[in-house]
Formats: sequence, structure tokens, C-alpha cells
Amino acid sequence: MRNADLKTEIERLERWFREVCPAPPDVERSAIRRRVRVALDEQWLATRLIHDAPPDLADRAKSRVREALRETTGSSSRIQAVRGRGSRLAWWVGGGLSAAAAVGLAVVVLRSPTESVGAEAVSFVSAFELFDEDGFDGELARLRDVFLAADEGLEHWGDSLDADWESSHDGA
Amino acid sequence: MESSFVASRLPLSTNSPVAATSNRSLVERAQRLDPDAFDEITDAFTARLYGFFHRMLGRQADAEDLVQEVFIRVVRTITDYRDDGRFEGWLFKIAGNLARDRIRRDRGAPQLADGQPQVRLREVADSRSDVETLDGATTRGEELDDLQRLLERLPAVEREVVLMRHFGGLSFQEIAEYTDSPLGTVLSRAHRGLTKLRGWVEPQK
Repeated sequence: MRNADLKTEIERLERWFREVCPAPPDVERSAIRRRVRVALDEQWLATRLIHDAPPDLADRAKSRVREALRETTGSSSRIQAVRGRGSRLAWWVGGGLSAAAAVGLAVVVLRSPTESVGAEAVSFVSAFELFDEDGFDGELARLRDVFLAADEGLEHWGDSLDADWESSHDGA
Repeated sequence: MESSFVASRLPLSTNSPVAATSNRSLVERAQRLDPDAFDEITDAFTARLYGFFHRMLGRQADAEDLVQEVFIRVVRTITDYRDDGRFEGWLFKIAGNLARDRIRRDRGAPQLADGQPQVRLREVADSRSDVETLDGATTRGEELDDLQRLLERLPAVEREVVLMRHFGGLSFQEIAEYTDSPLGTVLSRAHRGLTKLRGWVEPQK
């Protein structure tokens, strides 16, 4: 996708966000641009930031993990043995108390008001956080595709937004 | 060993339900202290954890030490981990805590109000004029060394967000939660850090 096309697409998505996410215009524009810019800069950084570990590091780590596992399982066995001696009495006492607590909890839950998160709770920040969390659909998928498409010409295209970005940048 | 752990994305790639399911199964095995599960976890995350620590601290020996320390802490605490599908986040929360502890220990840095270390690995003026650029870099190795040097010029709190995103694949919300910082603050740190980095690398644009 050419830089000009990407810019147009971002602007279209900005308009969509303005419609679905009520917020003061300056705040929303600033938030979107900041988030877009961060996403682009992250992609830019990803092309430069590799992570090669020393070849034997994983093996050394595994060796220490095995030691830690032996210590952990050894401790766990000792604890289990000690716990086992007192467990039968505890079971009878604890079981009775648990049953009573469960009844009480059920009453509380049934009497609690339910809460739902409405669309009005979606801020720009949280909307963009969807980008990170649970996958995409609809316009968020489009937004992701735009970002990913930006990968090729990333070093250059983002600069086409610089002038606008700086003018709307809130200095954060 | 081919790891069955499906590592999540670097920034902007996708989290898939398949990956989450596969990871959940592996985490369950790890919670039963299955050694093979830990081998897979170690294979899956050693490089990324090493990258995080190396870039965060700037020292290979520290990075190697802390990578192993992360896995040991995972062994000791995995049974307490409540699997909410964010195992990587949990792993990098441990990593972030270890990195901050190491920075504090090394530098004796005072704490900011939000609990973050107020430290720079190299105290330099934050101005473009005195920052060397990558213009003369002729090899990728040189460029990486320069990038490391520039990363070290970022305040630790900005560097941490940038690296947790890149190596840990954490969402901003997770980073905010793990660093006990407001979400907006985390976003601003990412924005400032990345803007500085890119500006230092490409000052001519």
C-alpha cells in the first residue's frame, strides 16, 4: 500500500472512531494519532531489535530448572506428609464450615446487582487496547491490516504524518 | 526440542485462540511440575527474555543470570499462578521486577512516586545535538551496537515499556498493571521513548 493510501486509510479510521467513541474532538484525535504513531514506531523498532541468546543459555537454564524442580517437589512431598497427618480431622471441620460458607455466598451472589459494561465505557485508549488483547473484527481488523501493511515502507510513510502529528501532539 | 508453546506476537501481530489454548495446556502441565513442560517453556522464552534483559541492563552476564532466575521463580511459583491466558505477561512481570531490582541494586537509584526507578544507565543530556546518529553505520552489527547505546540513553521507565512491548508482547494495559502505573502514563512513556529513539536514529527526516 502506498504511503498516500495509508494516510487516507488512517484518516478514514479516525473518522470511524470519532463516530463510535464519544470524546472531545481534540482528545480523540490526539489519542488516535499517538496510538497510531506508537504502533508504527514499534514496527520500525521491530525491524532493528533482534534477540539472539547465547546458544547454550537455554540448556544452562534447563539444568537449573531441573534442580529447582527437584527442590520444589522434595519440599512439596515433605509438606504433603506433614499435612496428611492432620488432614482427616481438618476435613471434617473444614467441610462443615465450607458448606455453611457456600450457602452464605450463594445468598449474597443472588442478591447482588449485575453490572454490564456498555459501549459508553469504551474509551479510545481501551479501544486501542483491544488491538492488543483479544483479536480483531470489523474496523479494528482493518486498522490492524493498515498497520501491518505499513511494515514495508515504514521508514518513510510515517513521516508523511509528521507535520499533522506535531501540530496535534499534546506534548505527552 | 521443538517447542509446542506458541509465543505470542511481537507488537502488532495477532494473538490467536489456538495459541492461547495450546499455551494453557502447557501451563497446566507446568503446574503439575512436569519437567518436559518446563523445557518447552525454557525453549520458547529464553531468547526473548535474554533480549529483554540484555537491552534493559546492557550487560550480557546479567542478562544470562536473570534469564535463569526467571525460570527458577516460575518453578517455585507456578502452582500459585492462576491461568488467565496471560502466561507471557506473568513471565515478563517477573522479568520486569528482576530487572528493576537489579537496576536499583546496581545504582542505588531513588524511587519515583510511582515506584519506578529513576535511573539512566548512562546519564547523558537528552538533546538531539549531542547524540550520535546511525548515519555512518555500515553493518548490522554496528547498527545494533548503536541501537543498544541509544536504548541506554532512555530513562529506565521508558526503556522498560518499549522492551516489554517488544520482547514480552505485553499489552499496554498489562504493563500498566504490572508496573502499577496509570495506562495513560504507560502509553506516554512508550510514545516518548519510541519518538526519541526514532529521532536519534533518523534525525534527518
